[in-house]
Amino acid sequence: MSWLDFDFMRRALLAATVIGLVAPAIGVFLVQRRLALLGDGMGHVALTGVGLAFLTGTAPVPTALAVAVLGAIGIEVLRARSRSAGDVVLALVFYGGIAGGVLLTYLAGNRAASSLNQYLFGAITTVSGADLLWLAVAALMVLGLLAVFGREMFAVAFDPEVAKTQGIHTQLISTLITVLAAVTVVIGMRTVGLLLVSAIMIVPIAAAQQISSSFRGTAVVGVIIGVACAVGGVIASYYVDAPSGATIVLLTLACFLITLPLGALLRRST
Amino acid sequence: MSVVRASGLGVSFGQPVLRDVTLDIGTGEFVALMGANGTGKTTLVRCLLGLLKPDSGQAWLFDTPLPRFRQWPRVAYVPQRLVANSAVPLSVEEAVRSALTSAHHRWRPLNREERNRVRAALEQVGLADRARHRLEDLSGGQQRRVMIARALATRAELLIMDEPTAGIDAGEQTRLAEHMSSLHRQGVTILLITHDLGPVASLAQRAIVLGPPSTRSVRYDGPTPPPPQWTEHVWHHSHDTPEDTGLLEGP
Repeated sequence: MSWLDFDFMRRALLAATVIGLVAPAIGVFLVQRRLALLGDGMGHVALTGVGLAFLTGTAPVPTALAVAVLGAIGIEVLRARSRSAGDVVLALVFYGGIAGGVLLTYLAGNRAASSLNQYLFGAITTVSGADLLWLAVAALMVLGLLAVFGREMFAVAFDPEVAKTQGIHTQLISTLITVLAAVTVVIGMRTVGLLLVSAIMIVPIAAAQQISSSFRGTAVVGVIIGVACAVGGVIASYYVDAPSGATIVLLTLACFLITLPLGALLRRST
Repeated sequence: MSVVRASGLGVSFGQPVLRDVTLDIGTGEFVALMGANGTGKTTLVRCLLGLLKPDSGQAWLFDTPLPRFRQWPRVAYVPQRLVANSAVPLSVEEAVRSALTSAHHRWRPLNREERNRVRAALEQVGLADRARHRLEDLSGGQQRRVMIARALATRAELLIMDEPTAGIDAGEQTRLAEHMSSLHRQGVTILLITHDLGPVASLAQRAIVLGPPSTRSVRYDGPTPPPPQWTEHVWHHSHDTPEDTGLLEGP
């Protein structure tokens, strides 16, 4: 019997394709803004959302989505208005998010604590049809907003000060980038897990930037690497009976290790 | 018509950086904003562009108070710093194209006329053959020319350039002077920030000189070149006041 004959595998491959497509597409803006660790911070905030869902009995994906989006807006407000540096704000979110998640999960009881691992490390084979629907809606939203605001997001990521003199609302666009990162984290929550989701946003871009000479090229190659590693990781994890999230992330790291010398060779030859 | 106007601008970062700066630049003027390091030239420009809120006074662009100004495509700004440390590879063409992004046409990609403008701007600065190269692979002078191409591609009516000659050699400066001269002949109003009198600054018809740290205000506003004794002493001894030197009487 082929692995494609299983419903759970078909759903897992669809979920992996979605996260492989969306995560690097938003990750390229995070890398350009030197906010590669933002996804980790958002993962911690989403953990609070998962804890809240356990406590209130609501669905974890939409609850985590709402909490992560609120957290994203909070990060941007803090970055713009507080005197703390960007990395300090991220640290505050890290600590607050994980502490909130652990506390709420503890208050929700033992059963919640045992299912927390699914969200921390991903459990792609347990993705339900309802989960897939949420992922599709969230992914369409991210890709739609990228299509509309992508050029302004690029201008702000490239040079926020000059972007402001072009009449671009830089604060709004910065907030949009962070909110889209938060949504992407929740999309990847069931696939690679909250602790590793940031990797699939950043590592494919880190690999792509070794061999690309443009922003667009980096984004396109990053997305190709993201989708290939996500799908390949799910299939590999089926055969070797390994956790899918970790397998996907290790594959993206392998791509980085391949493109690193390749990029040096390309630069030497031009 | 005033293109750039400021009245009583004051900025303080704990200590005063600018005090009561008033200026008025009309259509088609080529003005050099001069002063030694630390006299607040870049701070003034940031106030004029709305990037920094002054503690006192007001600024206008095209006779519109800055808080209400929305016609940003009429303005092009070339900042002092370069962008070679871009975290993601950036092609020369992408850097120039980004200048044409605005909130007014976010829905559509660049049209043929805009793409031609990008190409023409790169040709003007002699970098058309480098369009697909990584920006970071270019020399400092070439990167400066890319930033100037960004401004050229906008076809803005006001061009504000902060120290465009910093870090570029004499040949590049002459080439830049030719571009500036050509733009000025086309009717573009130019505000050039500089702390020396190179070939570019010498094209300006008017100089506005910001005073030394003890005054923090406009000390000279008149034809270029400013009186030689002023330049000779202020450029190299930024803490000397005109009164200290006894060499400058106002215009």
